Amino acid sequence: MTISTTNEQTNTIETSTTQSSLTTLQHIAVLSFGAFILFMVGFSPMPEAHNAAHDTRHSLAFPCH
Amino acid sequence: MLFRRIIFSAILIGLFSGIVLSTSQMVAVTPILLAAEVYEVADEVMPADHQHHQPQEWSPEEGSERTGYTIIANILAAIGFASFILVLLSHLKSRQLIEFNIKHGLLCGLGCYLVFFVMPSLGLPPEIPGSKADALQNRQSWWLLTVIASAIGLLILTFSPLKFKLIGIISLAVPFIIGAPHLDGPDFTHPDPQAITALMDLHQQFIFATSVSNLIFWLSLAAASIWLLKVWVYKPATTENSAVNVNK
Repeated sequence: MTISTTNEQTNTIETSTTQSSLTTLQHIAVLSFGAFILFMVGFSPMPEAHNAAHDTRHSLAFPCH
Repeated sequence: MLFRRIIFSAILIGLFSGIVLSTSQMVAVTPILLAAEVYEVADEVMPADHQHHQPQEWSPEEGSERTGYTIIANILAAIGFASFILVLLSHLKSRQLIEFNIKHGLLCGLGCYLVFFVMPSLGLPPEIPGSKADALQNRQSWWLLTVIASAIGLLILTFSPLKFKLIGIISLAVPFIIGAPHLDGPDFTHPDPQAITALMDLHQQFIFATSVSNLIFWLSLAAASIWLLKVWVYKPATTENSAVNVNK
């Protein structure tokens, strides 16, 4: 009975750790998505990207020109 | 799946906050940019239709096309920033450091405003066209360093035990110990002294206008994020039930 309870607890802890790692991975994936978009809008050296987002870069205080 | 729900939320929030940003920008920020560009053209003694960019480069036509591209860029930037704040709020909640309520949401929004706007602006104030500045790459590197160091510093100061707080203060100070990249000499080198006075005045107005507009932007992002996290991202079952109830 005691052994069974310990096994259940271990399983619960493992499931919880896996869940937590999965959540962290998904958070990192969302951060990468956001960072990629912000790079394109605010930092991309392509002249077309700069000219299209020029006023946005100035307004958000990204370095421009 | 959490990833899908957060990305979908970021897009919705980005649409909303991007429009909020565009509105405040059109009222208070863009007129100052346009006024400064008049002096920039005169400063570089270029034909009026060439603006401040190389003539062969594509750029949107003045008027509605330029406004349209700015609104799209605002929405995209807002989606990017929304991804950051959604992850921040979601992570802090999973660590039981915050609750999904409007108070904690707005405080996180203020934190992001400090990290992404105030701290970089202390070293590199928002620029108007026509001002002289150091090489773009140096300024971008310093901006990125400041944002990362400020985020780490602010998180440590807010959530870490007392014995680690000093690290937070050091982290906040590092970019300013290194120093923001600046050119020697005046910010504006227009040949007409009256134009320089006008540009300096426009620059002050621009700093004020962008400060207010970015504050409104971050508070709108934070409020929308906390609301969507609460009612949808972390409560899909409840939402489905209510949808069924509404259908009934």
